[in-house]
Order: sequence, then structure tokens, then C-alpha cells
Amino acid sequence: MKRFSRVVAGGAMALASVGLLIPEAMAIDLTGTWVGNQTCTIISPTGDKDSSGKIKGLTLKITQDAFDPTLHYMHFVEVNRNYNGVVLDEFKPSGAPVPKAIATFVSCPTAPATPGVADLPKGSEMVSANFQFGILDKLAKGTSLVFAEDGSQQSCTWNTFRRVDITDPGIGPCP
Amino acid sequence: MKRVIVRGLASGVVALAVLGMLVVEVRAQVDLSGTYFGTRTCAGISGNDGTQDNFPQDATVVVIQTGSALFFHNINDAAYYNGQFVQDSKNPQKKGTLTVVSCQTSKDLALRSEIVQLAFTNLTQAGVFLGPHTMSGTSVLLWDHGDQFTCKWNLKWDHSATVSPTC
Repeated sequence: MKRFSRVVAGGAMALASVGLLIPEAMAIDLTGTWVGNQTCTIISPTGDKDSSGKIKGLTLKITQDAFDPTLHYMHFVEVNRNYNGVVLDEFKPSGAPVPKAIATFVSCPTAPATPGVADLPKGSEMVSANFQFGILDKLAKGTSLVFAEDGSQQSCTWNTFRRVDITDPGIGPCP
Repeated sequence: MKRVIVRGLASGVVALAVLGMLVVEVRAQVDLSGTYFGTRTCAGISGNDGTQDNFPQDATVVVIQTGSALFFHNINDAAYYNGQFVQDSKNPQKKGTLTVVSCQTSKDLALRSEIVQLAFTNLTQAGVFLGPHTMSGTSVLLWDHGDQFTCKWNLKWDHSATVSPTC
């Protein structure tokens, strides 16, 4: 309950529903600047398919919540999109920790559906990313599915992102 | 001279016939509505204990289409989705892509948030649309207990839909 109060104070009450369900995890801190590559397939609103190939040098800026270590906030610089995310540390069945984590990020424009209306909010996106930790922090592989601002449908594979700076970029939660 | 005219007329008729077929094909409605059977196979991490969790799951999905709007009901999980689809520009009668989002999906990381993106292939014969055939693709899923998954979907049209699902 103490933890819940802190989250409320931090303006992340809605996110607490997820954070509370995760054991007092020593959630890995993803704070910093990450640089890496993405490969996307883009379907335009008129049905044209564009397999863009690998796009290099993309930048993610991530901040861990000050009170709930499982919550993270991300800014994807090149698409100018912000996300709320939750990180889940991985353990072996024996309970031993594994230097891996999975994170799910949801973009800020993503909103619950309006009953009976099939229009999706532009900029809706979910990302699932697998992180490995060692000498170099690494986003091993990720998947994102997007209904973009221009109405296109995009599926992207994220890989080989590495943390290049551990300075907190100060990203906040979705408004 | 008469032979030339006959040939010209014959060529014109053939051209019109071909054009007519094309127009019919372009105008034909693609309707994905129906009940689909298949699987959703997910891999990820359990929110309970942080261990790996992988499972295949039977999926029965009811789809209702109105224009480009899609309403999608995954009966096995009692999950509803809204979304959009677009036909492939080069082969509109046979291929396309749809994105559907479960009703509660939001920036607040609500449990049972999910975005699904599927490619569909319609059943055609000799270029004539007969009906929706298969859908396959991927989803990102935030499930109960904080479970986190990516899933592969494979669905095949089975019979017409009788219930209209909607968020």
C-alpha cells in the first residue's frame, strides 16, 4: 500500500494496476539512451507495401519511474512518439535470476476503443522488447505493431539496440 | 475490307470483355466476415514468477466487416477488438492487411492490452473472389498477472458469422 501511495503521488495511478501485480521485483533499470536498428514493413492507407529494410542509428530515450522500478517511460526520437512501459525481470524455474528482462511499451496515443466504432487512434502502438545485460546492455530483439499517424499499418523488428549513455534523459509518463 | 472490319470488331469485343472482367474484379467486395478457426501461439514471461511461458492456444475468432471497419471477437479469451483493414494495392482481391486492437488497450498498460496485425489471403479461383481464406500474423500481448507475450496467429475461415462482435 505504501508503494501504491507513492505511485499515486507520482501521477501514475493508472499504471499501478500493472506494477502492483508484479512481485517486488528488482526491475532492471533501463534508464539511458539506446541506439540501434529497426526493420519495418509498412502498409500505406491505400494498400501499398513498403519493406523499408534496416533503418540504422535510431534513438530511444528511457527513464525509470522514481518510485515503481517496473515502470519506464520511453521517447522514440525519430518518430517523436512517447510510451509508458512495464519491465519484467526473468528468472529460472528455480528462482535464480537471469540477466534478461522483457518490456512492453504502449504509445501515448493508444486509447480504449469507442464502443461500436472501429476507428483506431492514430499513433497506436505496442512494443515487446527483450533485453540482455552484460558488459554491454543490449536490446536483443523486439517487435512493434503500429497504426501510425498517417494511417499506415506497420510491423517492425527491433534489434541490436545498445545503451550508449546511462544519463537519465528525464522522460515522463504519458499525459 | 469486310474481313478487316470483322477482325476489328472481334478485337474490340475481346478488349471490352477483358475490361469488363477487370472492372468486375475491382468492384467486387472483399468481405472478411465469418468465423475462423486456428491457433494463437504465444511466447514470453510469466508475471507471476518471471519464468518463461510458452503456449499454443486454439482460437475461434468471429469477424464482422463493415467497409474498412473490422470487429473481431476472440471467443476463447472473451476478448473483443476493433480495427481497420486495407486491401493490397496490387492484388486487392487476394491480399490485404488488418490491424485490430483489444478494447481496453491503452497507454495505462491495462491488462489484456493487445494489438494484432494480420495478413489475409482470400480464396480466389481464376481471379474470382470466392471468400476469405486465411489470416496470419503477430500480436503483442500484456496479459493477466502482468504476463508479457508476443504471439503468432494462424486462422482459417470456416463458416459465416452469425453474431456481430463489438467493443
